[in-house]
Amino acid sequence: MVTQTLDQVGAETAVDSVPACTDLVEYYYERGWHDGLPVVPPTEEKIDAVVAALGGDPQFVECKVAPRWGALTREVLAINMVMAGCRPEYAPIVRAAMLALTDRAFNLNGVQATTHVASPLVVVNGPIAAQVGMNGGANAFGSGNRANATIGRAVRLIMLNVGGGWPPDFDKSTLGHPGKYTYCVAENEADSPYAPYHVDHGYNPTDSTVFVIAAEAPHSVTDHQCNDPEGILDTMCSAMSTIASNSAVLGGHCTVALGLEHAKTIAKAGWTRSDIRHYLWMYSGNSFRAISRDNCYGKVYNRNLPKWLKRDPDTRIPIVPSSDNIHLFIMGGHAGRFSAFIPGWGHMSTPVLKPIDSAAGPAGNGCTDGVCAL
Amino acid sequence: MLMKVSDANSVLVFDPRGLVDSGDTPIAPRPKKLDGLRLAVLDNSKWNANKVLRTSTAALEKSVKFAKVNYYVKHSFSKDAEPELIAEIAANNDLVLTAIGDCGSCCSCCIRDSVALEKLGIPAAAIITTEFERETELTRTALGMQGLIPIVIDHPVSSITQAEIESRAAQVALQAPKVWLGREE
Repeated sequence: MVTQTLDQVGAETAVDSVPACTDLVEYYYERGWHDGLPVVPPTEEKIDAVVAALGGDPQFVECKVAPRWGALTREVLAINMVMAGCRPEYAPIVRAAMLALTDRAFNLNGVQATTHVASPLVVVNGPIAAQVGMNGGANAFGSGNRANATIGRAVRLIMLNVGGGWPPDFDKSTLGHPGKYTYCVAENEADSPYAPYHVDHGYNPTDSTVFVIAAEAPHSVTDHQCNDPEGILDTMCSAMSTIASNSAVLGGHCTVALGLEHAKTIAKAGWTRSDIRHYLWMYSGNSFRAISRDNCYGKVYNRNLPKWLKRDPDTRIPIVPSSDNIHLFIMGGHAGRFSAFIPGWGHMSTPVLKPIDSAAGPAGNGCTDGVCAL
Repeated sequence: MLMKVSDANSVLVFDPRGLVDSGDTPIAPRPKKLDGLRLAVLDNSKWNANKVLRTSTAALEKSVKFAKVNYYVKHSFSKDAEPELIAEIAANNDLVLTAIGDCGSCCSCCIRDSVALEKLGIPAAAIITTEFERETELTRTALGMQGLIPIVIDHPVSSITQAEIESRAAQVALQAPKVWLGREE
């Protein structure tokens, strides 16, 4: 494996020339500019098309990416998008995702460096998802959709190449997870019985947004028996309540992807999104006795829970501090009584919701320039 | 956009990394002696950080007469200390000892806090573990402070016994004066 250096060799420009007979896929491997999979060798024409989709001005710096703090110019963003296999029309989504990830609230520096498995999950809402052909339906988290796969891959390539999150030096993850190749989906707005996530957060249905959260891989939640909200959600609570996740011991935020069959059963009973989130918050969690192992290893676990939780053995410790910290999306195909719980990294990172069209966005406290730290 | 052109015998390749503009900022000036100085202990709230720091401070106090020891705790081990906390530490102390960098994000943030304090003129000794020496080198380079020297103790820390804590504290007591003074004592 090539050892990366922090400096960009050649400094002034991102371009160089090599003999025409060069195997370009191998060239990018040899330089260490890859994610383990072969990259699409960028061409001037493809890069220019992406830069044009971003509004021109190739040297405009969109953001700097931790922990290397490389400058993400539109040209560099375009190079990485082409390498990932993106089409130019995906450019606004990738840019919005990177701006959300580099919002201070997200703490990308920590997410890149952590020994935990966490990787940014990107969820796209609004008309742009369908316009670029994203999948929120069957196999949404799986393979087979170019937009999902390459948008998520572009984000990861930027985190590696520009952010310097190379394992095992800057990315210290003990295990990682497959979402560190690509982790991008859309909500299934067309088939959902509920208003989309971004509308629930104050946007118009005609707005498009990206949501980013530091996330584990999806944990499947199977329930083929229950035909009422309480039963289905109790099963979800069971999945949420393991003490093995960072969410259980470090709070923060988590994601629930409710499958269509489950969502429709719950909606048919008249439950709202708010009802679902509050029920999940109310009936998931663990006793302090369980989380602290009854203090048999000392009281070090006390320090990472919110101060307002009593340290009594029978105190219920919720998975996250508020029902607002459970991010609910309706996803998946028409058939199958499956949902998913996706634990977060903990209180160290705050998810960010950002409009893809910067003209959109709710006003109000906690939001700046259309960006809301959730 | 392009500085080079291809011809029939060549093809263009593109560097996807983006430029880094970090420079090289010097560390804070070092004191001539440690006696009489005010020590800030910055606990990052990671498991066993408090035990390592308190045991290390006690070990250091056997040979150094600090004017005062002030204890601070930051809420999240995986985030930078708030600017207000950094400013308060810098205003009321002459030296800093911080821990524990025994995970990727903890180590990164201990180094980032130390760089912030060094820039304010406070010699800072961040305690990291052996598994995170390479990350520390890259982080200080990315932040433009190549001269920052950490205290390196054995990994792990989060699940060790009191006897092992005392062994780690002995490593700290040996290295911290060298980091603060910038030389062998």
